[in-house]
Amino acid sequence: MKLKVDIRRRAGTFYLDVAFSVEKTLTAIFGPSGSGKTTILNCITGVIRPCDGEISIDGNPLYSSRDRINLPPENRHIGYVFQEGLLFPHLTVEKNIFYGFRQEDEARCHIAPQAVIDVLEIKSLLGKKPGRLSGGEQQRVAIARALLSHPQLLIFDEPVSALDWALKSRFLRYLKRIKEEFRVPILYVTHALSEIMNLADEVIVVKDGRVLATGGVSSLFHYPHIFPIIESEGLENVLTLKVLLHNKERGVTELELGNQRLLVPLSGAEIGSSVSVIVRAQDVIVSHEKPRGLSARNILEGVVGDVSIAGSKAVLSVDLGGRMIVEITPEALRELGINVGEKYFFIIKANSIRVC
Amino acid sequence: MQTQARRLVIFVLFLIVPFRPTAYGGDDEILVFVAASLTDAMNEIKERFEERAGGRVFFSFGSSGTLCRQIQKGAPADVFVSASPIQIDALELDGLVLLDTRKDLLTNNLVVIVPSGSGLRVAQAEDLAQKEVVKIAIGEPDAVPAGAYAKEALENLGLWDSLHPKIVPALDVRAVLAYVERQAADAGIVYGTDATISDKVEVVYEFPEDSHTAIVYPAVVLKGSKAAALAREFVDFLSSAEAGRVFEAYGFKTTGGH
Amino acid sequence: MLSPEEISAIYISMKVAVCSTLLILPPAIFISWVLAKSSIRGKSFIETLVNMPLALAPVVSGFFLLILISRTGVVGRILYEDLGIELTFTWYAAVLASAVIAFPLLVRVARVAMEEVDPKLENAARTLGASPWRVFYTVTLPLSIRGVIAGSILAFTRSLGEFGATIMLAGNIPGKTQTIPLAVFNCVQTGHEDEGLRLVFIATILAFSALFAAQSISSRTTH
Repeated sequence: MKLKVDIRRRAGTFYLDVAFSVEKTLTAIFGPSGSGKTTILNCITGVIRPCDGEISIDGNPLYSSRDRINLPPENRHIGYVFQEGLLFPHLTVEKNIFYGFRQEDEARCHIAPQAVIDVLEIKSLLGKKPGRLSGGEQQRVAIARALLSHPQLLIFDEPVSALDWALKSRFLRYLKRIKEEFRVPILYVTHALSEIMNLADEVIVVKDGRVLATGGVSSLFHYPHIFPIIESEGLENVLTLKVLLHNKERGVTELELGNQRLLVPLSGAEIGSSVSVIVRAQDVIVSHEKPRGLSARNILEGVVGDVSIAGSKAVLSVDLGGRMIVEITPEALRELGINVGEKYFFIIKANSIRVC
Repeated sequence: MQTQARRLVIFVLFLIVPFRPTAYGGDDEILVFVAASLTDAMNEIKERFEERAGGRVFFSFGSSGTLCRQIQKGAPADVFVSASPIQIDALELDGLVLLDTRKDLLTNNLVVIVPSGSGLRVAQAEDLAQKEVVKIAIGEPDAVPAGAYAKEALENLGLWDSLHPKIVPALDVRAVLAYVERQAADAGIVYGTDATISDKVEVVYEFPEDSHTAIVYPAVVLKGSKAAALAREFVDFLSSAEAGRVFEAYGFKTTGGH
Repeated sequence: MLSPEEISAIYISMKVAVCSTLLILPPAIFISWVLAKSSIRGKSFIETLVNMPLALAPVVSGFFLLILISRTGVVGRILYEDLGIELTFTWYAAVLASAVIAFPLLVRVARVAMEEVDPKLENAARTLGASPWRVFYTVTLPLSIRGVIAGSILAFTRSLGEFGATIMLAGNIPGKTQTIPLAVFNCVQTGHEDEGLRLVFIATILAFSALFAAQSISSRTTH
């Protein structure tokens, strides 16, 4: 599926002028609050109307100012998961999720209701009303509802900004499963890069109603004007890893990180299940050689994929079996002579890793 | 909830009487507009009429002024019995009546009432000027027949100008009675028959007959009537001796026909 | 215990109140939706028109209706001459009088209830493929139903007490159009006050029962 967006819209003093296309499986639209992300989404879904431009999917126009086309939202087949969930309070979960479901679409779209219910683990919730669900449960139901309307594109509008980290990482695990199981293109809007760093195939950066950059996650760090946006967030890595074993004497749990093992404080997670880990970019130490006699439990090998410098930060994009962003000083970068494509060692204290 | 609502609607619809396209179907039913003050007498007369003549009579009660207005706007009345000739004259001018059916049925007298036991004495009309009488209630002269007659009588007796500041106009006769009952007015002027409605007022004076034009209750058949035959029969019955006895029992005086 | 006239007045009052409420429900819901959710021009004009009966004394509204639908009236003439239908001084006229008077009350309450339904919920429904009509009866209406019911109760009780427009348009005809308020008026006019009080008492009980019944319906639809 290819979504092409090329629109302009004025609202008071805010002027939106963006052009981009979405082709990858999971594309993120990233930008600070007030940058126009929600406006873009509302134009794509048809809830509001641009002043001029064009929006099309696979060549079929949804909106065209030149040809005077403006499909109403109900004809666009774009699923939308809102920040607030927005479940229908007077209907049960089951009625909610089947609201947009039509039997004939299932053949076209290969999203089976049972699969959706299983992947999102909402079977036990079906008879309840939304008022009795927790925030995380409501989000899952909202996703199921959007999926079962057999959309050609699924849009997530800051779905987890109101949730705490435990729920956030749980949600991202579900997102990963959806991406893998249902093969619906996803457009994910957020102001926190860490949410989609390991999931997004492409990122579109938006600020003040303009597109600043598009590209893979690591390539973003080449754009110096990206830094102010990211800096305010504090760079965090979020990885979804499988639990391999627990070692009670050593007080650690081993997680699978590619071919390596990541050691984290002992957790109660089931063996074989997936957990989310958070590692702050600044908590990672880089070394040329494999160090010895260190108190840190994790000494990992990885290849540097990208290097960028902006002001007082040097940011490395590293492949350790999972992608990580590492932050060091520009001076350290020069001293160590770090180059792209070369292998280095990365040290992380087990205790500085958050597991949820 | 949806099926419940549907059931309720169907249930209610079944309660509705089948639709009748014309208001007063056929020539065996008449709609008679009646001045409210004649309600009780007319109800008794209706029973007797229906017994002997067959056919059905429906009354619509109201003030003569309102009933007249409704007829002028096309109300489907067959007969009009008014508390004063003024309204029937107006309808005559509009060409809405069958002239040869007009009959003066009743007369009435004009009296002064005071709250029961108030001790006020009115031996002659001029006594209304006494300082114990602060307010005098009468029906609004433009709208209420009794009020028009009251004003006429006072004018003819040369008292209107001096008493005018004391006059309190009321919406209808019942209001005049209420004012006097509750001593919101110290005296009131109504028809003799109106005074019998309330037992909290008493009649202290009767205006002489020559102080006002004769109070007459006319009845007439209206031109648009769909059941003119039955309507004429009814008006004839109203001026019969039998009906006259019923009216007299309720305190009215008959004219002896016209 | 109750005289035939009293029973007649009660029956007519109930019949008229129920019918007039049912009659105005569909158009009132529609107008409320237009005023609450649509973006057409001329909304304030519609609103003013709807509210006219509130600003006029009921007798005046009734008088205008009489001018309109009597034999000689603009609408009445067509009904009478072409269809042989005469509405004035029938219980249908009483229904019409109550309907016109109660209409703005129902619209006010229903409209506010619809405005309170989060537009984002309605947008969500549209992204799920629902046409505006489907959004209305699956989302907007169910979520505002309490307001609609409350407005209907208001309309119903207003109709039970309707006098001025009724007496103008339908007349005061015992057995046909004499509702409880008209009967009470008659009793007072002719000095039969005890009967009048009895009817007032019954009318109060009726209004209370209506309120109570509607309360239990609306509480059952809570979510």
